[in-house]
Amino acid sequence: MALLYQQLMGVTLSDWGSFASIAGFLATVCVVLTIKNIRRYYVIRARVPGLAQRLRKAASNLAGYLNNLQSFSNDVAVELASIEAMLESLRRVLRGEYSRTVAALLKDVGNARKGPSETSVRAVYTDLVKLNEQIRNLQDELTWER
Amino acid sequence: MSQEANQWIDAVTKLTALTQDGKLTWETRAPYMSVASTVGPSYFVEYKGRRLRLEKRSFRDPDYPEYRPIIQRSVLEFVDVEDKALWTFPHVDAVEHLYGAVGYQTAGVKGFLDDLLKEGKE
Repeated sequence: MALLYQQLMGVTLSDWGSFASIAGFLATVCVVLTIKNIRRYYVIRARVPGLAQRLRKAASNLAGYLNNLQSFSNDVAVELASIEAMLESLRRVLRGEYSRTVAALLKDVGNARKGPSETSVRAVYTDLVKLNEQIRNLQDELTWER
Repeated sequence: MSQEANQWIDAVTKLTALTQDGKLTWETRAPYMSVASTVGPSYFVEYKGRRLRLEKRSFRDPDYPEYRPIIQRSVLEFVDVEDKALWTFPHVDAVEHLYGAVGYQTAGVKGFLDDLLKEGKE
């Protein structure tokens, strides 16, 4: 106890100033991270519902085209291009696990666009349905977050 | 996303693929009488010794407790020999797509479209 008292008595005003500036720096980092988080939250809240709705419609369209791929080959090409654009937008908004899923799906879409076969289009469709389910869960989580 | 949800999506999309490839042939029946909310026909198929029923039903939307609009959802179930529900698949978008694929198959749209387009070329 006496040692601690001695140590404290030895701390100069300049030392206190140094502690305060370190604490200030840490507080600034916390504030910046919190603001980034809040910004991300509102960007997701604003952008994701619209994109999610369009991606669900796209999955539904792809499922329809898979009924008769030969007849709908032109529509499939247009739909894949549109899905690619939507996924690019989504990748800019999402982070972590979601972003990785989107990146993997973008790769599938790229393959399907190069040579649309039933297998490649079906792979895009299945992964798109999974992504849509994942986004729905994300939206549910966001509803409870704040 | 949970592994379990992925598993249901894989299962239902597999059924859709088999249907679209013509490897699974569904039969159409009038709606099952005990389920008053059924909309449109009921579809049945046997796959790997199990009997499946797919139909569209109307529900009160639980997301809007005050004003509960009626929504329609496709329901996929295992049924027994008397068509009584044994177990219902969780609702995922893929079930709606399966309903569309089954309707497309049972109505013979593919054949009609192919014939029509062939006729136009001749």
